[in-house]
Amino acid sequence: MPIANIIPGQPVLSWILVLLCATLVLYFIRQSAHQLLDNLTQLLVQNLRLLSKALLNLSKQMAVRNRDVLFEHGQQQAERALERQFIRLSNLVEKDLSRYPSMQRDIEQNITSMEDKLLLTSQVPAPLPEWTEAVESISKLKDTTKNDAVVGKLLQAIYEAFHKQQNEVMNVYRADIAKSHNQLKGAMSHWRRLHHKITEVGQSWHLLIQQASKMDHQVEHFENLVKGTDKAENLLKASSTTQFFISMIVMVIAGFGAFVNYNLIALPMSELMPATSQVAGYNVADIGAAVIIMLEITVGLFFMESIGITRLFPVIHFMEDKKRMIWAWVCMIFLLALCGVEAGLAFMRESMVADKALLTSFLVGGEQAVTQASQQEHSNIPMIGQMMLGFVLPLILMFVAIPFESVIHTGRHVLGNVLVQLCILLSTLLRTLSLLIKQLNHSLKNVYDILCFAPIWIEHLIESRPKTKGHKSIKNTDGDEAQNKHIKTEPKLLDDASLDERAES
Amino acid sequence: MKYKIKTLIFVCVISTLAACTEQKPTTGLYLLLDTSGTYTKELKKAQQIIHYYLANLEPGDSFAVARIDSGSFSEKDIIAKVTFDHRPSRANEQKRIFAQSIQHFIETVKSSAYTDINGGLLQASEYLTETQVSRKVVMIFSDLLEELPKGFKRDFDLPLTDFEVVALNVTKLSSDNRDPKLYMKRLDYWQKRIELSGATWRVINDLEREDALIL
Repeated sequence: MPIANIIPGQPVLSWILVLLCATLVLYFIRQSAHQLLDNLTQLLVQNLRLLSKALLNLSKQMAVRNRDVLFEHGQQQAERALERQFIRLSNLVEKDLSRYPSMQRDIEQNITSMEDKLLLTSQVPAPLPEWTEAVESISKLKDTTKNDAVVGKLLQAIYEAFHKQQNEVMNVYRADIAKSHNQLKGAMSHWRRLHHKITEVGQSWHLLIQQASKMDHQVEHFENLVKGTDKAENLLKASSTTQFFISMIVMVIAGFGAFVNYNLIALPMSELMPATSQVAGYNVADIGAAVIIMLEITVGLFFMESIGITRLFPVIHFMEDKKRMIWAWVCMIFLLALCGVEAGLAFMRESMVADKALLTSFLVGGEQAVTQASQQEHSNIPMIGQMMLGFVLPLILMFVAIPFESVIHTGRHVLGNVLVQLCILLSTLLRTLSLLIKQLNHSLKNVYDILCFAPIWIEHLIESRPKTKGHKSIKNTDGDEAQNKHIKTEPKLLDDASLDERAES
Repeated sequence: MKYKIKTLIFVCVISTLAACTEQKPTTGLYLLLDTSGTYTKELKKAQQIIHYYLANLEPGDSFAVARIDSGSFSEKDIIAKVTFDHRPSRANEQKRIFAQSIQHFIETVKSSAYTDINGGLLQASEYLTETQVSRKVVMIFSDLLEELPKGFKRDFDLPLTDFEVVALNVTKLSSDNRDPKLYMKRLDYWQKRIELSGATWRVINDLEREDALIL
């Protein structure tokens, strides 16, 4: 029956009656409706908060794990750096120490030579003049006129002899001095050599000191890592993220290289593998070409591992040096063989393209066109270029092992961080959603009250009417009861501690 | 025990790979050439079409060219047939030989008195079913005017389910010019007959349109 015909012929009255009834119904079930809304809100809000807490806890655990991984990787890197520094130092010391015996011998020889020279140059004191005794004897003669002439003669003779001898001594002395100078000149070369050797030793020590200070720095860094300081963590984080992105860029470039390589060998592979077979919708020949490229990259990885550039496979890394070198040679031989295969395939590709072009000429222009095409001069440069590319590209792709290792090591941390951030974001969103639902609940209750505002307003008027004391006390008691009831029925939201417990569980 | 498990895993992997390996979808093309009356003059165009398809068909595909003459339901009417080798170089060689056969046929062809299109279609159906190709295409290079010798019965249903039938270069006869209804009626007859047999029907008269010729 239509609502307008509840009171026949009175649609307006019918509508008013229906609205009144509806308002009354809403008023009478108000408490229950509010309760229902509160319960639903509680259900949703608590679950959302629980989920949010769980995500937050997960993010914390992941952050701790990420930190551990980061430090572990950092320690590995630091160990490698320290090891490298030790090797350098060892090489330096070995190189210098091996030279020290000969250097020492050389220095000693130089010193001996210089001592000899100095000994030779030591000054020989001039011989005492023999005539001093004669002068003394003359001085003892009595001072007489008789003796004067004799003394004069004697003194004259002594004077002449003295002058003669002095000249001779001077000449000898000068000759000796000149000889000494020559000896000292000869010692200069020894002195220079000695100086040069000592400078060399000084330089070696300077290098050693530099290396030692570098090692000090590395050890300090390593200690920080072992202690797990914030500074070390920040450094590692920055370094790890940068490394990841750089490696990714290099990997993308290598991917393009692999794509070029693939296109180079995909066509000729159809000659070697059945072109009519497919696996998962892809031609077997195309898959074969991709497999060859992957094999090249794998062999390249093994080679880089065996020569100690990367450390992806502990089995190879911990091999004996001799075995590792054999392994490296084997890898290199395989890689060169694959390079040769690729060069051959590139050659075959060019032949196939030429054959296809000839066929097209034949189909379009007949035998005449084929003859004309074959008479034209062809350049071999594209073929040589393709063959060179086919040979070189696998060798270049081999170096992808370095960024690959970097991506593997740093990717774990970077992706872990992204996941942590996602968890935090999701947790925040869930929290916000729970708050929104709470507010929505309040709004819905208010809207509900607006729909049945008339009875509530009347109730309010009755409640606020002045009453007798006795009545008042009764009313107050009722009001308290109602309040108590409201408190009892108000859904109790779980506190954060209990939510934490649940989330952890 | 470990050896057995390894062997089992190896066998499983190989079996899975073998199970994943499938045959690439191949195309079978059967071209019927009308050699009746004055239509032999149009065969140069047909040769171009054959060359076009020779250039485009891939290893593993099948191609046959047959003539429509007085009695076309015969292997003798197949001028050249080939299933291309899976090696492209060998396939190219086969294409050259095929093109030479067609060239020889066109140079030496003689007009036939009658046109047995239904016989040719039946032969095409038989050949393409035998080759077990994934896609079967029959092309009829003809004016579609069938004229049968006395005693020939062609009132059977054609077994052309999942076939694609393409009529190429359906020329208008002088009688069609006088009464175009005849031409339309002829086309309509063939369309109904082909579609009733479970195949799809197409007409390509403009052979310059490469997009229409693409398989």
